[in-house]
Amino acid sequence: MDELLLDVQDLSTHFMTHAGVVKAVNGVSFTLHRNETVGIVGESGSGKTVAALSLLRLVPDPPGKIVEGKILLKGRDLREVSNEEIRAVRGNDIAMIFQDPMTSLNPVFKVGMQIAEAIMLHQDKSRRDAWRIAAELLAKVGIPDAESRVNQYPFEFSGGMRQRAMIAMAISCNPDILIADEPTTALDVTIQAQIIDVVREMQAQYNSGVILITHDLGVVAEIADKVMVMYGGRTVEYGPIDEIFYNPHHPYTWGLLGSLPRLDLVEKERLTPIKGQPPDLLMLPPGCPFSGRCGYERPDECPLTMPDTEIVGPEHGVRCWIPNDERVSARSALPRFVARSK
Amino acid sequence: MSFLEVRDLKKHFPIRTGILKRTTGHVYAVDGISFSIEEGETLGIVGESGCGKSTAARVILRLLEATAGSVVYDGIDVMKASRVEMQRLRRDMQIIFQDPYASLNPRMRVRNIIGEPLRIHQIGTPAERRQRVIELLETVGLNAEHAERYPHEFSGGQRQRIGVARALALNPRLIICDEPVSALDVSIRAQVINLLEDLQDEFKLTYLFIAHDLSVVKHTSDRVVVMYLGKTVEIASSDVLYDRPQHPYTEALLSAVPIPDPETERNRRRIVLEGDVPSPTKPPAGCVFHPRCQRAQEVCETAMPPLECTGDAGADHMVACYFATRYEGVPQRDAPGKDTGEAPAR
Amino acid sequence: MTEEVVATAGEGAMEVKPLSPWADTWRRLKKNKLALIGLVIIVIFLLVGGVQEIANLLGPQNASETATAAQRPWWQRGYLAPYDPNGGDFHAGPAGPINPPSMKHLLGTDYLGRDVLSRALVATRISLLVGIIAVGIALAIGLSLGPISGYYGGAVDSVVMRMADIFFAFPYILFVLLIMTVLGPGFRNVFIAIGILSWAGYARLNRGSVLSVKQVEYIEAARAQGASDLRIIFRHVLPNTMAPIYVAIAMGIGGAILTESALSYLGIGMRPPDASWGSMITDYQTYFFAGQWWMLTFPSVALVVTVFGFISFGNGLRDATDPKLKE
Repeated sequence: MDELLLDVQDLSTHFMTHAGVVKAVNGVSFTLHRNETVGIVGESGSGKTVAALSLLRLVPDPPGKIVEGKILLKGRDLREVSNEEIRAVRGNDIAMIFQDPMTSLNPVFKVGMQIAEAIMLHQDKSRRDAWRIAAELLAKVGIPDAESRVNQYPFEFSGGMRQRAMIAMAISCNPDILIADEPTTALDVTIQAQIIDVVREMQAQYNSGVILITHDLGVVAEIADKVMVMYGGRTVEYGPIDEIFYNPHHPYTWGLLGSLPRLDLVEKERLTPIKGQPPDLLMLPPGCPFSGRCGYERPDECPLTMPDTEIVGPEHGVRCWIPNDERVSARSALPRFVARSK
Repeated sequence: MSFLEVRDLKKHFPIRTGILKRTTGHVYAVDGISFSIEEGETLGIVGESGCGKSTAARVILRLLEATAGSVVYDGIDVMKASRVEMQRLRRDMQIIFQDPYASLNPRMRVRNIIGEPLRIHQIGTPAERRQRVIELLETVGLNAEHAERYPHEFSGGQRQRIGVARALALNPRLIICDEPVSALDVSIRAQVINLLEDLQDEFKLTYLFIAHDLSVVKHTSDRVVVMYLGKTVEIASSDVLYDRPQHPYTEALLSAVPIPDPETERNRRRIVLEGDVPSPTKPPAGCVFHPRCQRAQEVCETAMPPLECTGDAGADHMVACYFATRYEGVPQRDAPGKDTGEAPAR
Repeated sequence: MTEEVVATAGEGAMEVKPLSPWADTWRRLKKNKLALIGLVIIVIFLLVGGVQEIANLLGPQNASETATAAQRPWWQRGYLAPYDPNGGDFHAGPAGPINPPSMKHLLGTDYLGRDVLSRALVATRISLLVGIIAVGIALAIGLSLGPISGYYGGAVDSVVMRMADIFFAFPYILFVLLIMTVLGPGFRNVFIAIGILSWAGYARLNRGSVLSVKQVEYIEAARAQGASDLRIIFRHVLPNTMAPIYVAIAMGIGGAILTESALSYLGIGMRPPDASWGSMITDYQTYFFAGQWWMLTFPSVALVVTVFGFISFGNGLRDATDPKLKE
């Protein structure tokens, strides 16, 4: 196995709001190795973005606060380091790509300038060199005619090209870890395919670890090696990609898979949505956050305490009170899994 | 005559610049699309942002005036309808919007939002309208006590249900669904899709289903129109389109959709299109797709190929490409009234 | 890069179930001390001015002819003050008509022996009237033309906005004098003139909001249902463009009071012996440097405090309704 880059243990980030405490991330643990892509999957409010921002201590404080856990970057706990040091980590060791390429570039500066700034901030490079590197990076992420494009402003770039520019900025300091927060959500599907390819190439070239935050299980299936499924601030299931898709153990994971219309299936099956509405983050039960919508829950256990992680396969853990054998038989009754278990 | 017949519909927005507001160009948002919908079916329109699909919806409903072309609904020319006729047509044709946060008036109670169309058309007494609102709420899976609340008290999925209830209030026959689920979370998306399917069965609705998500369109639609830069590039029944796409753009689009199945993903061949969609203010001459097309040849730069049936991928399968993919072994059928001889085989 | 990252980090903040727009505005307004002080000033001003107006409406018409104003019960006097604001008394104190503040005349008396407190109180009513009438007229014109201009756009918009420009460009005093010659003299006509003069600000402000609201899908939804233009403008668009208008109203009342004072100071507004803060200031300014400071000071303070109240409340309201300042 490649070098362990990031080891997150029991991370909890809470928001103190006027209405009460929002436990946005609640005891989340995962690891990331070199050349590995971890997908963090969840719907809005699942805490996936906050979890990622917490890694870089980018959660606005107040109201947000990392209340518990360890964020070990090659053994060094990022919760303990000074503000000065964490700034050096940002961009240098861990870089981030955001969802909205329309707003994450500053409209009044030239694209090349913004990349060059990032380079000069972290590396001892002259302005000339930084601009030259910026042009090289733009070419590397597939922007044609990069030499002249560095002198353009963001409004002259299309959505896909801005996202490429963001990637160029992110890789400018050879980071070990690339966090991509919904990098393709705002893009059209043909552009999404291009961007996924760029991320993949950059990962191969720099041997970095990638954390991909998304709600799209299709994108996850395409590039992730490991998946962590989040719901209501908790990790409900994690495991290697094939385990999550072909041997899912948590009812929420089944629900997600069953909710998706499939392009590749010939017969039209009726979707099996998850019942109910997303949880109110101010009123999460002390136990399993999914317990109101699950359909298999045990009222005297599930909402009251969160189960420990049960290992159900190689590197595959699930947090669910339903006994293993009951889970497997319940799953085989679901339409999507009947079709697959042939 | 079909239930809804769209013929050569165009919508060009003028671009005005300077203090004198001179027209210096046009956005060719919709540039000659044609299709028809039969009663009770779902016709999907897919395309990427800027392809004109949402503009088309608004022109069909005459929320925007068309630049050219006709829309005939049940024998009535919508584009030429008088004020009074239009008012009647509005009862039959409704729309569901994409953004459940923007499509409900934040200052109105749900009761008034759903009851508004009834008041506009002066249907029933206030008491009857109240009753109808409650019925509608229950139809879409909400309940009577939700009537007194304001939109901000609901989640995205619930708001979308309110939008559906409002669209149903006048007992319409045609509902245009403009990206009805793309703003919703995965689990909620499935709820709304199922709701729309149930309502179609219950009320014999006809849907024009607009989306950028091909998986959703395939799931919901009987036939699909593929749009690119304001033009129709392909029309086919949904199974056939996904099985035997003929237009290179459709093929690329289909192959770009990630499939939530790692095994399938590993074995897939992807066509990654290069470049971006050109600006609709300066659509390329000839075939609008030719700058990104791998099959493009000289002829493609001269004229937009006509939308026609090649006959080998299904009788109702229309494609606008000089070099459309041909399928062997599929029984050749002549499309009635269509000249298939012109499209050169590849 | 670092700045970049920090700037966009807010996107990740958790969404909490939203409060209704009003509750949310009030919650944030409560935190703004200056705005709350302003609110208290406004409430006091409204009460004092309101009671004065009621007393005035009930007063002279219903009063018995025989009794003098001072002998009637307070609600029939026509003023709510210890003394008749226009009734002079040359023996108000030992020094003649002009007396400094004392227990008998809390704010002193003026050169005719009139009670300054009584005059300042009665003037409150005038300020309230100018606020309501002037802003009311301005709103009535501005909120009809503004939404229509914004909603229809094109030629309608151009005509309305050019009209607004003309109103903005016109010299103020000249305009009031012009309207006065059309409407005839009388202090209420001054208020109407101020109102007619200030519609353009509301219209332009509202037009801007209408331009953004009319793009929103719920407006399209109303059109798809077959709602008429007027229904859309006044039932769907207007209520959603009101937040900045409320701020403008608070500011506008303060401004109208100030304008009236300025006009009265120039002798265009109130005619003696009736008092407004502005006319009192003109009247008394010469005595200030003679050491008889109280005459000028109290109406000035009343004017400044009231206008300050409206403006600081208006500012607070703007901050509380501005989504960009949301935490």
